[in-house]
Amino acid sequence: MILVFAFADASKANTFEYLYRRYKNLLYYKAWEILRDPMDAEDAVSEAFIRVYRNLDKVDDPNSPRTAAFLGTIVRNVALTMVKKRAAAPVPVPMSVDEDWGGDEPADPFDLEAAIIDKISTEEIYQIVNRLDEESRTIFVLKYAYDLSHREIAAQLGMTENNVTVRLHRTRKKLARMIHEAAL
Amino acid sequence: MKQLSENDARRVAEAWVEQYGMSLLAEGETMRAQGVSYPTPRADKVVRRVPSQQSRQQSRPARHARHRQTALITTLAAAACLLLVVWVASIPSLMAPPSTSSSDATLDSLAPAPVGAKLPLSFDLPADYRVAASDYDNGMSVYALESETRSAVVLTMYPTSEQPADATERENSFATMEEVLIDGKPVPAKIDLSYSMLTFEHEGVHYTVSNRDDMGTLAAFYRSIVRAEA
Repeated sequence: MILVFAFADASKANTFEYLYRRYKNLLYYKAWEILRDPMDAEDAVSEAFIRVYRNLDKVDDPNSPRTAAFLGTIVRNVALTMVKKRAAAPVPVPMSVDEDWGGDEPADPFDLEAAIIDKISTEEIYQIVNRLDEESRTIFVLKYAYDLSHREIAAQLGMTENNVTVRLHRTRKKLARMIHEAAL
Repeated sequence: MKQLSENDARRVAEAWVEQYGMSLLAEGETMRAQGVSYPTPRADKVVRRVPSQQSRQQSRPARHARHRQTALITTLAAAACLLLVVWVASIPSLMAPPSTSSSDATLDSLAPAPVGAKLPLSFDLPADYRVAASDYDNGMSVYALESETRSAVVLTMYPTSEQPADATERENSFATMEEVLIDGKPVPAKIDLSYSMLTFEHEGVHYTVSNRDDMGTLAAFYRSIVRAEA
């Protein structure tokens, strides 16, 4: 399959070309770290850039850490999905609603107090989020750092919107506990 | 246990993104400094991008200078196009000196399409393309389309209900073709070093567009055709 990407304007096309040139090697290596196969790593890079194309509006500054993280998150997700398929793992059954699941409304949200936030450095937050499982972290980041809708995330990760919603709820709950513990 | 508020979730996510992104950028810089590069020919081919817009933004003198420098390449490419035209349609008269103008397209589109006659162009030509020549031969309508800034395009059309005699043979040669994904729809394509080609059916008409290696332009033609008749 060869893909021809059509862009609304020249600047978008140039941005895409720049992203590919700048990050291709890095993303290839990141994919290879997971897949350990050159051909699969190439496929992961290709697939990742298809997804980047679909979300190019999320890229403001191609050189920013934010953009790098976006690309890194996508290629990792693509590679891990390929690993799952390679292992012929059963498709996860859509998660059932938790007993304590309260629907879309973040019932009784936990507002971090200023004192707690001050105690935790950015590096600590980074480590805490890294302790999440890959999929939960990806969902969380795509939602809250890149403002992807539940539908967009579901399409990216090949799951249902309901599954995304449930995972976000659980992740926010888990993070609240982990951050609170870290601050104590 | 309570969950993070939306605001806190954003703060946490942004903090993670910043850290992760910085680590990735640092890793990328290290790779560049060490000259680490991975050949990715398959990905390069798959992620086939539209041609750089820079050439279209060059000043006229710069463009002319560039044209002079690439005269030899252009000549060779033109020869490749000629071979392609012969292969696709076997219509020598197509290469006759241009004698028609862009008004042909308009006039053609106004006229009814009698059975067994040249099909009119019923769509707007992309960008600054104009009809350089047109012909009807062996059941196929053939248009040579020119542009000052992009490579020439050869368009052939025939009604699918009136498949030309040599079409089957030609279709068989498409067995090695790949697919191009345009706006989410796969379109059979052939891409070699010397030329690109798209072939597709739409609203009862079979279209083939080809040019030098500029699939982005062919995609623009595809869109114009599909959009015009949608």
